Amino acid sequence: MRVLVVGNGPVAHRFVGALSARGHTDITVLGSSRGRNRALVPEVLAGKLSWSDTVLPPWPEGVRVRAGVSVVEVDRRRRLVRTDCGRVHRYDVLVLATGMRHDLTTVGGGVPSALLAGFAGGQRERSVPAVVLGGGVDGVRAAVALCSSGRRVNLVYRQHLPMAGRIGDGGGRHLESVLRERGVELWPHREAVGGDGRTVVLDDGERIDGVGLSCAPPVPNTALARAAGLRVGTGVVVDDRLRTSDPCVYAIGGCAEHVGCAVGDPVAGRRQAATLAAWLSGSERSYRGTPRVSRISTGGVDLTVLGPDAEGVSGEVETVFYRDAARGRYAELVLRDERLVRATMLGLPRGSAAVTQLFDGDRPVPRERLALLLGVPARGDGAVDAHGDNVVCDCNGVTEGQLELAWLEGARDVTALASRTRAGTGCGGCADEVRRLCALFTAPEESVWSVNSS
Amino acid sequence: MGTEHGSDVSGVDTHCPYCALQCGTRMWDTGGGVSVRPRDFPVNRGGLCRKGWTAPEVLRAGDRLRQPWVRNTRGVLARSDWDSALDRVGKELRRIMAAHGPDAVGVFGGGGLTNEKAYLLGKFARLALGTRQIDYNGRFCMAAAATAGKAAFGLDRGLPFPVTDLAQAEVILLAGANPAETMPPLMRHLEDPELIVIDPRRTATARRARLHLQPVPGTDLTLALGMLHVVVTEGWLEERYVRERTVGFRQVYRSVVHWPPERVERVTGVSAAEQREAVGLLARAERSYVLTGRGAEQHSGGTDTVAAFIDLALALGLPGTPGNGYGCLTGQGNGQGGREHGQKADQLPGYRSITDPHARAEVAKVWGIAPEELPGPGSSAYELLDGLGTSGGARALLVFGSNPVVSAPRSAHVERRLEALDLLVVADFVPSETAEMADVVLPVTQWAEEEGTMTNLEGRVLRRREVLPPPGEARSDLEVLHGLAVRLGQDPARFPTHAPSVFDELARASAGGPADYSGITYQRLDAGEQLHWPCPETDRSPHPGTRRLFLDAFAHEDGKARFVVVEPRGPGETAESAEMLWATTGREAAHYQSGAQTRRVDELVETSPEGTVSVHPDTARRHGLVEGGRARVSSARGSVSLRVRLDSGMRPDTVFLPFHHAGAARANLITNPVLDPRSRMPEFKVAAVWVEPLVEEAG
Repeated sequence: MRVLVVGNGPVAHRFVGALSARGHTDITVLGSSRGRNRALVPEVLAGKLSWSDTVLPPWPEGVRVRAGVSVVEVDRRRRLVRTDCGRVHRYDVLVLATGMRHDLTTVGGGVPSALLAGFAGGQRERSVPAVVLGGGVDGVRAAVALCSSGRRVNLVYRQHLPMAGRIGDGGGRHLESVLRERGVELWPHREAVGGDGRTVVLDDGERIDGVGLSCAPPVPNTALARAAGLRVGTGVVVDDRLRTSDPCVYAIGGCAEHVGCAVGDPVAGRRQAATLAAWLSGSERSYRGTPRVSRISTGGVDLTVLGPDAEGVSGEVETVFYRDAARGRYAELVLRDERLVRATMLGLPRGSAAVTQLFDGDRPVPRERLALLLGVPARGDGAVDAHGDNVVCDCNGVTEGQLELAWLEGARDVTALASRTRAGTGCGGCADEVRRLCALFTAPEESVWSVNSS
Repeated sequence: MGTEHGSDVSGVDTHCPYCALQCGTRMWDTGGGVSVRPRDFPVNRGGLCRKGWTAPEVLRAGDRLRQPWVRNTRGVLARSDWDSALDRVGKELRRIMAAHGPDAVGVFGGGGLTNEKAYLLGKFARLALGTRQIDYNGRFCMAAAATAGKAAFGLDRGLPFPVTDLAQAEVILLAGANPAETMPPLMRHLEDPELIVIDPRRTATARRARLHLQPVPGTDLTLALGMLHVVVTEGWLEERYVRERTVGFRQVYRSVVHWPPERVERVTGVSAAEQREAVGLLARAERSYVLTGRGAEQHSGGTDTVAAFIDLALALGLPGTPGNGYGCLTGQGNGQGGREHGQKADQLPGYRSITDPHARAEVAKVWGIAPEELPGPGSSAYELLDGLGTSGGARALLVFGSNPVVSAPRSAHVERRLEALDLLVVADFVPSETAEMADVVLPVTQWAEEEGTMTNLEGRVLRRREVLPPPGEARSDLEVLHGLAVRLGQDPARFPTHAPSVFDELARASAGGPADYSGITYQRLDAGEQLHWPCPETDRSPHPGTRRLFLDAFAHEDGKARFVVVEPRGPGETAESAEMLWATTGREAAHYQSGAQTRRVDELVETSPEGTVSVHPDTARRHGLVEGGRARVSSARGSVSLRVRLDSGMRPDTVFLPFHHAGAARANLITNPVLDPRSRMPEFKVAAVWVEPLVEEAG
């Protein structure tokens, strides 16, 4: 089976890796530029990685990879594609992994190399101020990442609050104050109309010094599919097998639209890649969608948004709301039948991880909601105390009563108590407690207050 | 430093028979039995856990095997005598080998056997039987860490430093280890260091930790990659160490940059913030260690998981740096020595490869045979068991010191394979579940009734001493192997029964190998010397042993450690619906391994009488389970019936089953025998299961 993959980003890489691991050998990959992992851009902006680090790891041995070629036409009838250099590639299975258009451009259209120098950048690059254009999750993420590298950062957005559409006014206001605290200068109700690589001009005539970085919401790359006559909505429409309207053509990752949903979530892309590799290898696995998760965890800002946009929930729901403005914490969970429908969590990193997993696995939310949000162990809640009747030494199962009996029988110090009861001879963790009890048996009135109980 | 003493009026110094810590104890003959007390020995500093205190009870267990048993024509095990039993085994083995070749006989050893027994068992298999088919239960225990350690450092010794070094650490990362319950006296060394514990359960060890990372079972490798990403991107990389002492970092860097903590968080459930916190703690410390246990190792990606933790340790510059390091906490009593002396399918004594022509020639010389007479590598433990009674598989199996009916994965299937054998011979000191299935049961001695050596988790060779005569007609395994070898036509002198003689031969056979024991003698051990291998024989003053490995160089030819690129594959099976849970298995404080010993000690049985399943209270409520009620836990392999324990320290998506119990409560009825491609370790630590209440039958 000749498998031809158009696109050489992380989703294509994952798909080819999985397919190759399942023993497929005839795989060709065509990519228009060097395959990179765009999900690492925030770490580049934060100065933790260099731009060259985003290049994907080597492809599996035996896979033919052509980078720097663009596919100009898919001839579905003859099952072949043509590239801009005039080459023809035949296929039995065509996989479109053309991704989304993420323009990492300045206002003028060039590459904002000062911002993308990342780890490799010098003092000069690192001190250039940044003007991030776009108040969506990508814009906010880029702004905090840039801010953590120590430069001055401006965030320009059309709405009244950052990420307002995604997290509503409550969350947006909270995020606004968190960003201000980080030192990000906010420019609401505005957009950029021009600039020259050193200055950005806003629609109200304001000029901000800095390199512009456009973070418009990414758009699925569907031109090739559209021209080939495949069904296209916001993305290339696929079914539960990741199949397009042509049974020999599949689409995965940011360019694909599954059940009306095209999300540039790398997790969704990887799951689609794994599912398709399994399906093409004879497994009955199907793709059932990936819950939508927006996540920012960089530069001390921790934001998680799960599920549809703030306005997208209706019907009978339960809401859990938590706000601790002084500590920068905010949470809003919307539940139906004990399962998460959507959530916004800000400043609650541990809880976010747990909540995301529950949402991802469609699992019910624990009863101890506050413990869940804070990410701390819940109290007992019906669990029986494993220690039982006053066990002092877990390793040897010695109770307080046994220690007292041994004391009454003449074991008057810790060594004697240990020798008679074995208390404290295992891990030694109860040594202080045995000492306290020994003192208590010896002089009950005085020692009760003078020693610290653990 | 502790010293060892021989016998004197106030008792005899020996070691606890159970885990790899090998706590120093002193025992007394109390007339008809023995009693033990802990002594001030470096690994336990006067401590001993409940199992150790009560170990003498196993010596006088009511159903202790005292004479050979042979299955009679009515299919019932009946009392027999040594000559009849050994004659029968010898005759059957000869018949099977004549008809089907030597590989039709398999040998299954154990990590609790002394070095002498492990060595002689390997020699017996390769020489007297001429079979390739020998492996041991350590494959279920140490194989993944051993494979990864060898690949990274060129040598695998559980801890390449003495246990006592740990006490000086500032921070210790424990990946999948719960020593507070499984190895309590070790905690005496962990009182001062701050602990970071990775475990899907909030264990007794996790409760003492500064930081507990609680990942989804089966995602430890991914978690290690996230932590490594933090090291390389947030300025914690020990660049000079990496440059001077390692190779392969560049490839690992290229791969691990693609695992930022946010990506890892989604897979593991461990927040990016906690990953960063853990790395910060480890990296800021002047002295820190990364230790792995079975929780990280018993996976179908076990070797890769350990490799990822070793990569993390290397990036932080820990291994081979004084006061820092990577180590694995070995499980079984002689889990270390057991893997060095040739009872492993692919190995010869001295921890040498059976496919290495030089090693074959050396060992063949000691054994007085031509190298071509040595068989090649055989199948790994589970594959050996899985093939029993099938075409191409063994038709006879000799089991020494192991109870695979309880301890092997997918145990109902293993039971059926054992039933399909023409001949099952079990040497043990109690009628284990595997012994009960045998055609011939041979009663053997245990710790207080024999001389021998064990090698503990830090590679230190220790003496075990005889205080009591064996009960009834029980004989040492060495005598059993001698008796069988003679019946197979071997020269009796090739199979000595005197432990010190076997040790001397073992030492010679190990000379020049990675685990070189040739400079170690009973005399030196009895004089109290603290000898860690390698300890080669020298012409001059005796070699002092090697307490700390790798300080100058790693064991690869160029002296450098290897970074290894690994990618997570995930567990062998996935939960197909949100109603399914993950099951993980492990040990509890009161029992040891298959429980064959500890289930015979009243005090331990009282503490932990039956198989249990620990469930988060919310999960219990949702599945209709109550504390103390019964539950059925089912996987694609089978079902197990257990008592419910509510535990709010569980992840709501995970249940925990201790694996010490027998019959319908065997945790291994549900475990997945999918194997790690590199180490052949089965996946004990993660299975997708259904959990439901079980109505207790009246009466």
